Amino acid sequence: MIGIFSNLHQNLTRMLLVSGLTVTLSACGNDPNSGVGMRAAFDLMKGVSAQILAKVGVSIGGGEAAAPAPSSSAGGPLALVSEALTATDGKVMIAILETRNVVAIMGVAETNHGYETWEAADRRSLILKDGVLTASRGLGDDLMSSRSDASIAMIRARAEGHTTRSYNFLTGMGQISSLDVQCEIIEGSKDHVAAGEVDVDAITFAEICIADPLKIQNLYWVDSKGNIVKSRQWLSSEVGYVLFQHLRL
Amino acid sequence: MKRIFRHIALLSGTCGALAATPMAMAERSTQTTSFGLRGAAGIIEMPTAEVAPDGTLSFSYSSFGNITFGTLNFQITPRLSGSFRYSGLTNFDPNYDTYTDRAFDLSYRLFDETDILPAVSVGINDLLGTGLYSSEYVVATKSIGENIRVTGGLGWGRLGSLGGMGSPFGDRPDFEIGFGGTPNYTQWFRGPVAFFGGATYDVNDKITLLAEYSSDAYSLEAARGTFTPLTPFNFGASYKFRPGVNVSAYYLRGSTFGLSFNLMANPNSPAARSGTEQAPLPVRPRPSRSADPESWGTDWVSDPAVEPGIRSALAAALTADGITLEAMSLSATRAEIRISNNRYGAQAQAIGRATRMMTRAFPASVETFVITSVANGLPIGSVILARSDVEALEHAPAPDIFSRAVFTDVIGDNGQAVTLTPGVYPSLTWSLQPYMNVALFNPDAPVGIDGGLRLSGQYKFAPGLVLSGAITAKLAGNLDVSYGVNDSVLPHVRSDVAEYSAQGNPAIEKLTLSWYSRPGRNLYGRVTAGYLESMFAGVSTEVLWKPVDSSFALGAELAFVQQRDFNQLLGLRDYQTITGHITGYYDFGNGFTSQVGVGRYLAGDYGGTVAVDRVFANGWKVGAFATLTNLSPEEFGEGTFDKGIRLSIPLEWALGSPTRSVSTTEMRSLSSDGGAILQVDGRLFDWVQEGHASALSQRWGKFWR
Repeated sequence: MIGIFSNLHQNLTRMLLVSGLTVTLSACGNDPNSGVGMRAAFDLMKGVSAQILAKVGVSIGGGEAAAPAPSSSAGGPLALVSEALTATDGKVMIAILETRNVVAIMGVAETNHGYETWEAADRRSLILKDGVLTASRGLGDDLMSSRSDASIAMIRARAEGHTTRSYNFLTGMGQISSLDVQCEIIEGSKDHVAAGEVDVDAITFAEICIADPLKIQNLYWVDSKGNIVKSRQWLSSEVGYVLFQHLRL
Repeated sequence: MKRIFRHIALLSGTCGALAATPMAMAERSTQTTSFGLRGAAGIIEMPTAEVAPDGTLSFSYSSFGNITFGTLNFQITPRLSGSFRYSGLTNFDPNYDTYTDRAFDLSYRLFDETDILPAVSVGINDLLGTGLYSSEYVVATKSIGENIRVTGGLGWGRLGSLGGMGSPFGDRPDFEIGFGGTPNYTQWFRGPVAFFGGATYDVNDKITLLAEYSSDAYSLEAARGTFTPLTPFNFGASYKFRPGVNVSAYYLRGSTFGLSFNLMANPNSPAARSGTEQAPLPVRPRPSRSADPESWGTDWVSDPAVEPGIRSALAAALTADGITLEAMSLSATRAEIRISNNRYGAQAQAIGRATRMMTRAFPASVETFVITSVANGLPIGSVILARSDVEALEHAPAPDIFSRAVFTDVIGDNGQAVTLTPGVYPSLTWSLQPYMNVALFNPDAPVGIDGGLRLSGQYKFAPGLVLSGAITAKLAGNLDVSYGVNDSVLPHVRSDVAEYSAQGNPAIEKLTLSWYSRPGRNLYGRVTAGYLESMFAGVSTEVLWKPVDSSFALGAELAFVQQRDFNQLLGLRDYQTITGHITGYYDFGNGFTSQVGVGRYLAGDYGGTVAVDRVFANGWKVGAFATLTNLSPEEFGEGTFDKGIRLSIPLEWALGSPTRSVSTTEMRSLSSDGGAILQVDGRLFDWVQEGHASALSQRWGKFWR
């Protein structure tokens, strides 16, 4: 019975070996809540991703100018991504907490009823269902759970329409309170996503959710199989938005 | 700051299952986030009809001329607030360098503001004290636009002393102060009434301008040269450094300048709501029975290596998360773990983490999970969960799994015998840490502090049997300052505190052997012998009846004690006594709990103690207590009877990371020998109820955290 916890532990240890998994980004101080319009939001997404992936030495988007060569830092960032990909044969992604200027490489620790618990080496986790962010653990002011199945189905089908979502947070008293939002999913434009082992044509979808005065703008890059390969998704009012770039599906 | 959470409705539909979840009390409008000179809702000297957000606790310090105020204010309910204020006046009474006065005030919001009508509050100041600040008022406050509030009111007593317009309810009778501490209700709203009023203007988010017309003549202070007002007008400005931190400056009565500093905290707003601790290990779902029938087999039961293997792996994983696996039992379909929580303020969080680890530890055939909370070596309540529910509801809101949980007491069940985890007992823990003993609002010194080093240790022989001790070395402090001769006519059971502080260095703070037991279902027992506290040694016994899902509990306590030497080493003084109480505990279920006890106190007096606490689910407690005994006011001395305020703040609230540390403070308006209670560690109710349904349900949202 030794090794009950070892699978996960080994995975995490391997991830840890990829090390320096959180990288501080000084060049990334934007406010995602400052009423950017749809186009501006897409631009922002591209810009930010380009910046970050430039840091880790991966270029994105076929139409984009080639990313600048990795900076002088001894071969590190690019090596990080490839090390992450060789450290595990499972799914790998980069997650970026915009407001905290944190980049983490994450792997799937467990899958339960379709929910994937993605962990970084420092045991902070994000929970995604079919690529849609549903919860977090260990970030402070976490999203405890959410009901998002209607949106998930629509996005994966690359369809437009109206849905509702429900976010559950912890109150200061340790109780659950829910935030219900009304969402509209709108198709954007075609784009090409290439990062790590991902190299696909995708269509962008925006999901605009409103619970006055809060306005959430989630963005998804969806490939022809319905996989979300890249996204920018709201987590909570304190943590803000998280950027996801999948490196291996 | 606009927080979206203002707009979030409680998940009432599903939370309805949470039996003891406190009902959210509706906030009132016309709120203030900064206080006046007296540390309560007000412009400068004069009160307003504003309220603070529910649960706000505020400390204020103000000074002008020869007068200083220190105030603790608490918004007890959305409508009701109370203040305890300490005033120091120099140049007031020739017998004192600084004349001190303590006052207790209450204010109640009668009507909320509407589009047309103002908010209206009524208040009584200094209702138990010596009467220096006795006054009553009715006040109305109306908002004009976003930034202006106008207040007008009528005051009696001190607030009717300037510009009196006659006495509508008759003359104000004299009040025999006596030894203080009794309500002066015969005076309320009697005597001359006077108008007061003023306005505030928010220049921006940071700065507020203040102006008012005062109805306080400062008659006594002016006659004695302490403070002489020249006009009825006050002007000032308040600056908000950040929410909850305010500084105000005033020009008072055409005569002098004043400053006040105001700190506000709200239990509802912790540093980080969910905490910043690491993520829990996720649930590991079982493979489906049809896909992998082999893994669902029960052959492993006959393998003697399985259970010890699981136990040690599980114990190690739990330890990493700050949880001790004390014992375990395992059959083909049911597993019980007994855990003590060393890290999390919310027991539900420790249970939730342990539950997830169970899904990773036990063979697939184990469907029933029993998680038993352990404190002081005793099982204090169990949660039974179906493993299938844990798997299915990991990513659902916490109330879903709550509705499937069963809360029970395993003692008396015909469950399997548990096996202790090897290596947990015996155990020795010790620490060397700085300490601080604080006495606030004593009659003669507003703040008394002793500080130094404390060496403490605990040796656990077996579950429930603990030897514990603590030695302190004082490095500095002022608790040993004696203010005059101790003239208490009672046995000096508490009033010799200065002697204890002066002579007890180093001191054996306590040295006790404790035995905690479960005499039966719903029953808990304690026997503690040795040097129980800094002033008494002896034997203390206690028994508590508390069903796991009951809001009522009953306890009985009996102790034989002898007073300790002032040097707090091993010697004893002559005074011996028997003390004991029968105490009932009741949880009203709306955030308020109460205790009522009757019995014999340390000085041999007989009587009863009533305590009411506002308990916040995250561990904050703000309460008040009063003890009435058969002593006459002459025997008791100043204050007439024992009363005070107590305050517990969980450090988790301030830090945002999990810890079970709590800062507890007790403030008595006066410390005296009447109505004194033995201060023994490990009283049952406080820690037993933490494993029970009410406490678990209040913070069940942390189960999946």
